Amino acid sequence: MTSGRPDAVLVAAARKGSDAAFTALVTRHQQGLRGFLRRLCRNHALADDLAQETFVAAWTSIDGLRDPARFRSWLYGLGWRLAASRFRSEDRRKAREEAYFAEQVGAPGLSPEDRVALESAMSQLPPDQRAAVALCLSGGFSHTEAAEALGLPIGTVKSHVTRGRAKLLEALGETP
Amino acid sequence: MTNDDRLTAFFAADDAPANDPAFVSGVAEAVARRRLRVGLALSGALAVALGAVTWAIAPAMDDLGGVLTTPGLPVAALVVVLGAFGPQILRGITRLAPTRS
Repeated sequence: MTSGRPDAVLVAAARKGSDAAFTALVTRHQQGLRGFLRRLCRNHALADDLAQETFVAAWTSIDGLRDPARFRSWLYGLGWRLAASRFRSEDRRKAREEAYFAEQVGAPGLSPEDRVALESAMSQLPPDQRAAVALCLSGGFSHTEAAEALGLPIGTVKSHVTRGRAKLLEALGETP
Repeated sequence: MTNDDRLTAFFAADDAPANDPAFVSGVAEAVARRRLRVGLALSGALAVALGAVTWAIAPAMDDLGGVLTTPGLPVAALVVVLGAFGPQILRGITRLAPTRS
């Protein structure tokens, strides 16, 4: 049984070739990683593809993880770098965002107007600011963990979260 | 409903399922494909290396041919032994042989 073991133990077993241990890591972190990438990419299908690529990259390079106890921030860092490389193709991203808007059916507890306003505001945030917001406001990451995952100074992450949150609230009509 | 509640609802719409066997299976398949590609690449490199070694020692083997009754047998034996045990050696330094636990 691997599900209750700490990440560091599972990482050690995965390094020795245990597929069960790696599958346990995937099962444990898939929800959080996919949520982060969905908030970052604004496209669920693309985000899930990136999440799968991220896990494969993690399997390939798990021997390079220095501190197994920090598997989560290392994993999200891999995902962030994969997503950031996709963002360099800006035109394709915009096309995907438009497709995403079209496919959205709504969020429970949120009016369509609010959803569209937040979607637009979120899409207009710079990618690193959006990533910081996604990790810290909804991903349960501390500023320190987010800084480690995104490879940014902690002060920058704090600033990104504060400014990003202010922009999202502004989209809901809240004055700064 | 406060604006923070609206933000929470907005973010919650992007949540993935807590249990998603299809996604986990997809990752396992992708890892298996990657493992196969790595294994094939290593086997190819091993084959090239064995070919180079065979080519390099061929003259020496020709000389030994006068001593041994069957010319080419040492080379064949070397290729067979390395072919049989080479992958096991490589598995030790890579993760080509997954365990179940």
